[in-house]
Amino acid sequence: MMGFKDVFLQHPERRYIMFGGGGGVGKTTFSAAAAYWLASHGKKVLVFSVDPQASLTDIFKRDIFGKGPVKIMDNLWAQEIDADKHIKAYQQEIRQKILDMYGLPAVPEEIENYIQAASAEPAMEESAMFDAVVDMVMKGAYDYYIYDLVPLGHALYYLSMAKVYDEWINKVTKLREEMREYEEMVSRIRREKVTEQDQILQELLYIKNRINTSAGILTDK
Amino acid sequence: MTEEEKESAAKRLWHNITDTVYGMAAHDMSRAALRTRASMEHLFILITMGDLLGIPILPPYYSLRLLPYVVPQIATWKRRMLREKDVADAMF
Repeated sequence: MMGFKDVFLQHPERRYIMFGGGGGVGKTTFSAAAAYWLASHGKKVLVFSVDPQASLTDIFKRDIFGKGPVKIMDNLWAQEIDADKHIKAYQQEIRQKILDMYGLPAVPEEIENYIQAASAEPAMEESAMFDAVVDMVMKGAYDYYIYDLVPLGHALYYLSMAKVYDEWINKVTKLREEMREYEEMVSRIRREKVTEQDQILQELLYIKNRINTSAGILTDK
Repeated sequence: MTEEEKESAAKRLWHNITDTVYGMAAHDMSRAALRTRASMEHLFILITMGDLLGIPILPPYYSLRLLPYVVPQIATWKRRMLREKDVADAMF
């Protein structure tokens, strides 16, 4: 029988490891053990979780919840994402951007309501977590990424989320590109200079790049 | 008629001809393109900010990222989306 160790030895290209399953099967234990083994063999490892129960804090006996990557020992870092904190900081960033862009003293009520409502729905937390994980993976500073998932079929859900987001962003970006073409066409007919860059398109391309990259890692694309 | 007057009359004539040609051939095209572009803009806001009208949209985290850029258009967009439609819309 092939041990877990052999999987790592024979497939050095498998750098993203996810532990999923029901409650109490040993996800966190195995995540921590695998991370420990890899780290003690000279690999730079990040083990992380988005679980508010903070099991990694328990297993490493260190308070790491919402504190970014915390060094546990040589080559081993652990991180627990605090979704609430993450979303709050993000909301503030969006508000500030609106105020700066239009020089407003306060965010318009309607927009503020939207920001509040969007953050209250469960999809917000999911997509925020998704992005937090994308963020870590995109930086690519580690040899191994070990994802200690939360129970309740989260693993499969997470994978399908990557796929759905991937299609969503591709469609939205395509529409925006078509819009750009119309703009250029009008400029050509009227023999005017093409107007400034489309900032929304730039944002979309940035998001698209992130989602495509993570979907590429998570699915056989 | 002096030589100069003749020249400016010719210029005016030429200008009128190009304007007429633009009006006949291209003006409708550019107007249609702008119209389509405007519709697409509203469609775009709908598929990213649909939540504002109660239409649930997938990843709110990323929608929020685009929000600052559409702030000035939100009001017109809402008006257009929630407007009653009638036959005249199809005619003009």
